Amino acid sequence: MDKSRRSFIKKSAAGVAVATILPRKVFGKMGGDNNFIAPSDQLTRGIIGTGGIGRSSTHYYDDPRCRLVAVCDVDSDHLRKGIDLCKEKYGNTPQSYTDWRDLVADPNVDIVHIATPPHWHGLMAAAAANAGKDIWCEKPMTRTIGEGKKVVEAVKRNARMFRLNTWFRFTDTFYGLGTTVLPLKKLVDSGALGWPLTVRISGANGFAWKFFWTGKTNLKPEPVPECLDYDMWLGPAPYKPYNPHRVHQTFRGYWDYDGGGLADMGQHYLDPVQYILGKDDTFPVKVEVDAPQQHPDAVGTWRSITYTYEDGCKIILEGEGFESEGKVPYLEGPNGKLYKGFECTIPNVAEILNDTPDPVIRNTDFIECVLQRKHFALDENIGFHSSTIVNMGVCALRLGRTLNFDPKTQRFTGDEAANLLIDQPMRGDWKF
Amino acid sequence: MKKHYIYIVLAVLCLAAGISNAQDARHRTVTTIVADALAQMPVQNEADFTAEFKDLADSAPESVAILTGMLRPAKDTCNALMEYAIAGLVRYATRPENAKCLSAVKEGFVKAITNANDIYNLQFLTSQYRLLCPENSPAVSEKAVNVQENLTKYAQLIKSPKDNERCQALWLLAEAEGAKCEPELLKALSDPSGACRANALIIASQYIGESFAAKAATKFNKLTNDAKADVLNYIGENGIASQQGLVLKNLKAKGKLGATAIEAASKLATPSCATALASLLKNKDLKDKALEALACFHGTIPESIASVVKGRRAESFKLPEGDNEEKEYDKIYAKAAEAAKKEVKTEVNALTDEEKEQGFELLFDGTSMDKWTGNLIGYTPVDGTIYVSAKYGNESNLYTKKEYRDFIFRFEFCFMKEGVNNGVGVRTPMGVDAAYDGMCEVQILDHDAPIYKDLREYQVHGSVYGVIPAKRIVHKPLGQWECEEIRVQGDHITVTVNGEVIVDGNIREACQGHNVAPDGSDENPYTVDHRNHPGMFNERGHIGFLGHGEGVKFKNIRVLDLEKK
Repeated sequence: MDKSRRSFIKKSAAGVAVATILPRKVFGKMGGDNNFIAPSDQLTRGIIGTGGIGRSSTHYYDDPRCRLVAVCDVDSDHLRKGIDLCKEKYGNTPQSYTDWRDLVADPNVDIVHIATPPHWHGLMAAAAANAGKDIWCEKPMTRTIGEGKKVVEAVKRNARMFRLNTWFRFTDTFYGLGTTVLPLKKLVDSGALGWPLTVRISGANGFAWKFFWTGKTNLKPEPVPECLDYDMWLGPAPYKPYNPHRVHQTFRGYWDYDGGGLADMGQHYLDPVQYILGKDDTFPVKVEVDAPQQHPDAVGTWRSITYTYEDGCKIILEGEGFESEGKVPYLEGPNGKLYKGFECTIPNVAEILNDTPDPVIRNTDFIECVLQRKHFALDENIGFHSSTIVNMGVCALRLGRTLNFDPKTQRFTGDEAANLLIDQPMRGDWKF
Repeated sequence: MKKHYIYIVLAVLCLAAGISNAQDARHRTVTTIVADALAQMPVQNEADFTAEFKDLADSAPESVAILTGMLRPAKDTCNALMEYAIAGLVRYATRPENAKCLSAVKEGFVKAITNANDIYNLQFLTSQYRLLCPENSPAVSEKAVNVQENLTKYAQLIKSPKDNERCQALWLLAEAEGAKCEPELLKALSDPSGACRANALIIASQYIGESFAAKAATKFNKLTNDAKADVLNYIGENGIASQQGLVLKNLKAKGKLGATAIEAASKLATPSCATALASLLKNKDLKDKALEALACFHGTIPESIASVVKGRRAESFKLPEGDNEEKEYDKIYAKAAEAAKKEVKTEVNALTDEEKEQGFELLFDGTSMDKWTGNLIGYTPVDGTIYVSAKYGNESNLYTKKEYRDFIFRFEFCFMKEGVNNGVGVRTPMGVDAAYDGMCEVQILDHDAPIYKDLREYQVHGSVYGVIPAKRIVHKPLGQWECEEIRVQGDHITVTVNGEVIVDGNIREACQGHNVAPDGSDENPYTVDHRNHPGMFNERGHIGFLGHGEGVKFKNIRVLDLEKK
């Protein structure tokens, strides 16, 4: 991020006069230093969901180019904490909402951050796009495949910039694998390993599947606490009696809201694989699961999940406690294997990488993308493709069988029950 | 743990009443099929799944009626076992190869939904039923485009001050007119909003193709610099080599225009682009960007600069040093993992001082199974307990390595879910059904579970199965430990649970000395279950745990060998 560069100033043609009258609060200092950036130069953001992740540094980041002006939460404790954190970090009191639709409609907000449980992501992202906002959305992108399609459509039609909150395809060490993704991409691009490839995502390679995100099947109904608007927390999800384990972090253990460790870590682990294999524009055609029977409400554990692409590439996920024995390759092709720590069976791998063009990774600064109206490196389209890998795994687990998927129609073939999991009913009046 | 009880009872009833009940190959009624299946929930693998649910599906709609009838209001109790079974039945029935059972299962659901009286259970049944009905699923149809409606909306939205609405307008127009909207798209290139320009170009690439670039090139000079950059980007992204001239002309332009041109040249990857980029390496302002562009260049690079480019590529292959700093997410997860771990504690297995004096032997110390043999896969040490995941069957039992004659056997057990079914085999050989071929089986059963509401008196927890009924106790709530003692001396057997004596009898007297039918038949009038118990007077044998499904764990297992006194 180049903080010294004054950003492109967003103007709208006839609306300029109107825009400057609207109350954008003036702040003397940003981030504790004396660099004064006038409000009209700044972008603004609002965060829906100021819980554990919502209040983390991903959303409460330090960047003077975009000011936090609004927060929203259905839990008044979380909302209070979100307001207080904004005061503490940035020195201003944000606008606070309890109904996310008000935040999305707020003309003061340029970018909407969605840090709610996944069952809300689809509705909120589409609504934000239709309201002319840009979007920063937590993973998994959506809870169902159908919602993902709707978000892609809404973002496209409104030409909004969308950022999915996962980033390993372009930066950071790739978990316990001991390398960044870039050399992996180069190695695959070079063709040295051959084709097709099998990728193994396992604790043996440094990827933990967080099986502690499982649900309980014996939840006793409890009274809803004063601070929580449970009806709004549930939103489109089916109404089930309140129990603390359903909300606030442990919601990850219930199919109604999320998909356990698979959905939690899935996009982080799978999106770079999709990138490495060059499959941002397609989907696996088959998903197989080996797991105990899953409860209809509470997410359980699984032993393995295998995705197969049309060209024979495979992605194998190994559950915690079911990792393959011994040294296991992360990437395996007919001509070579790659292990943790970039250990490769091909002797002259460094030379091969020198001769291979670098992959193009541009637009990794979302604020720049918003200002320049450029698609972020991990936009809604790419995010939809990798979240579909996760979600087809969820469907296969819930049905306990192998599913076949048609990348063209984006539906399951020969399994109507699976297709009924693509678009799931929403409670009450909630709809796209 | 017995599956045959209903067989005997009902077979007798049937003979008496002259009616025949629906029974499967093992002569089980639907009630028993359901009860047996529930004791196996959740099923652990594919093979077991098919076996368990085939029986349930084949006995639909009655099985559905029984299962759904067992659902209690959410506030009263836990419906987990039934929920597993109902959802599993839906999974089974919706497999294409099981289409035959689908209509019977659906019939069961329709009745259940009609009769449901608890709103949450109704919601659960409805959501499961939905998966059974493909003919009711919404058709996947392409929304027909209403051309006039689109054009009206376009005319209205294209004038909007909001750029996202002007973008929507372009899409509506494109859907209505297809490639005919080209003039409007060209006009949109002059839109002040980058979003609209970008959208116009996306629509052009979808509906029109390469020729649009040529048209855009003719009005290139009338565009703003930002719009020019968008057009060059479009040319690069879509590989429109015919317009490379436009790209190369702008390589040295200032600001965003020049930067975009350099990127576009890299994407086009033609020989002219390679040469042009190479020449920029001498330009002090642009050499960095040019080098980056060449590093990504998917085409042949002039020999003269190939080594420079390779050097740059080597930089990008840098393995990280040391560990990543712990991310925010990881801290949150670590807290959750800690909280999850705290819920599990390791149990203590120890003799009391009195037991030590008396000469009791601890059979399980919390970690080692070395005093046991048999099914060491279905019975495993977990957190200081022996955790049971064994299925029904004579090969699935756990036995003491040693054999005993007279003894005091003490242990603690904990039911973790409803309907648990296990048993203690006494003076039994290995690999046989201890209830008949051992001296006896002392029943371990969660008899309070609703699925056992029709239990016979000699099947309750603690009974000497089929021979001496136990006094029926009330079990502690699920998840709590209970203690039991089984004392066997000669023919005398005493069972004590949580301090209360529930069996105190003489097994020989209970059947008047006839452990098998005097006439050599299969029906023994002297035993309560009317079966033969050939092993009843065994001199000695192993002590065993006779498993049937997950949900129970044991600890503090100790024995006093009375023979050694």
